[in-house]
Amino acid sequence: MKISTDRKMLALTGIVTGVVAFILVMLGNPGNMGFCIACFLRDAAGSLGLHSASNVQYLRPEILGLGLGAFIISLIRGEFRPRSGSSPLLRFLIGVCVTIGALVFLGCPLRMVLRLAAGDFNALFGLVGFVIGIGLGCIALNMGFSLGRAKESSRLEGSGISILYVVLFIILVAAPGLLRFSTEGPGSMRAPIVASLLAGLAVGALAQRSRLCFAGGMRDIFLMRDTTLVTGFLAVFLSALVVNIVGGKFSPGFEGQPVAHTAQLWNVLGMVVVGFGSVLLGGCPLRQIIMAGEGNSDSAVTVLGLMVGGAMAHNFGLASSTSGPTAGGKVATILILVFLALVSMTVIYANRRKEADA
Amino acid sequence: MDSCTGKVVITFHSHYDATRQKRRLSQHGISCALIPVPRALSSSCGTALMLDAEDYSDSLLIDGVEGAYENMEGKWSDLLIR
Repeated sequence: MKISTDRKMLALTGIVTGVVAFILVMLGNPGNMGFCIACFLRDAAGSLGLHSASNVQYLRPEILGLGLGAFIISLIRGEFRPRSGSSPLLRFLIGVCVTIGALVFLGCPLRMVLRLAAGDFNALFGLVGFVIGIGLGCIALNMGFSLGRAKESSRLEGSGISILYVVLFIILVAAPGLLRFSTEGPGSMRAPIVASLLAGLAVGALAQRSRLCFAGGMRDIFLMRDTTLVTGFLAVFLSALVVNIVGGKFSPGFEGQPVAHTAQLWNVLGMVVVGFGSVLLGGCPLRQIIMAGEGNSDSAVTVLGLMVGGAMAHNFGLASSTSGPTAGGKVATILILVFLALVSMTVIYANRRKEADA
Repeated sequence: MDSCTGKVVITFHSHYDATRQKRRLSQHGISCALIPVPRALSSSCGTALMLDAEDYSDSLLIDGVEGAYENMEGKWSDLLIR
C-alpha cells in the first residue's frame, strides 16, 4: 500500500510532537503537559496580569515558538497569506468558550491525547465528549454553518500576532519584572526558556507543513470518511505512549493523575464544548495558533479569545482543579453549549435565507 | 493525495458550498467525491470536490467556489482562481 505524502508528514509531526512533549515534562513542565494550548494561553494571560490566580502565571515560550515556527516556515515556503474578515467577533467569543470548556476538563485536545498516552483514563471521557462535540459541529457544517469568507489583508495585519510574540519574548528575557511568575503550582513548573522556545518552533513549523489538527482528523472522518488528518492524532498518541512506557512515566488509572480530576460527566461535557467550538472555528486551539502564524487574522483574534477565556475561567472560578469542577464551571459549560447551539442555528438560518434570496 | 492524475479538484469557501456543488454536479449526472483539500494545493484544511477532468466545466460552478485545479501526471495546474 502506498502511503500518501500528506499522511507521512502528519505521522512525522505527530511522532516529533509526542517525543518533544515528553522531553519538556522531563525538563520541568507540569505532568502530561509538555504542550497544552489552553493551559499555556491561560498561563500567559496570568503572566500578563489578565487574571490573578497566582499558581498559573507564566508566559510560556512554547506558545510563542509555535506561532513563530508557523510564521517563519510559511514565509519561507511562500504560504504566508494575510487575510481577515470572517466573523472575527464570533470567533473571539467561540474561542473564549473553547478555553473555558478545556479548563473544565483540564486540557486542550493535544493535552487530552498526552494524558491518554500517559495512562490517565479520565481523558477517555474527555475523548468521548470531544468526539460528540465534533459530531455536533459536523451537523452544523452539513446544515450550512459557515463563518463567512475572509478577504486578503495587509502583510502588517497578517504579521501582527507574530510581531506581538517577538515583543513578548523580548520582555520575557529582558524585562521579566513586567510579568507575573508563579512561585508554586503548575505555573511554577517550567522547562528552560530556550528549550521551550525551540520545542515550540519545531512543532509549530511541522504543524504548519502537515496541517496537524486534533479536531480536523475526526471532522474529516465524519464529513468525508477520510482518515488522512487523524494520522497526526494517532501518531502523537503512539509516540507519547512509547516514550512514557520506555521512560517509566506510564501510570494507568483514574486517581491521582497529574492536573486532572475524576468528575467524568464534566470531563465529557467540557470536551463537548471544545469539539463543537473547534469545528465551528475550523480547527483546534493548536491549529488556530498555526493558522494565525500563516497570516490569518481571524485565527489571531481566536487565539486572543482563547487567552481571554483562560483569564475568565480563573477570574470567575470556572476552571476545574484536581479536586473537580466548580459550580460556576458546571453552569458555564451548560450555558456555553446552549450558546454554541444558538450561534450555529442563527448562522445556519441567516446563510439559508441569503442562499434563497440569491 | 498522490493519485489524482486526470482529476480536477475544486476548493470552496465553506464545507456547505462543497456539498451544494456536489448536489449540483450530481443533478447533471456527474459523479464526484468530497475530499480534504490536498496539501499540495493549500495550507488550509477545508473540504474539496474531486471529479474526472473530462467532467469539469466552468459553467456548472456555484458562487462559493474558491478555485479549481487539474492534476496532470502528478503536477497541479490552475484552471480557475476566484
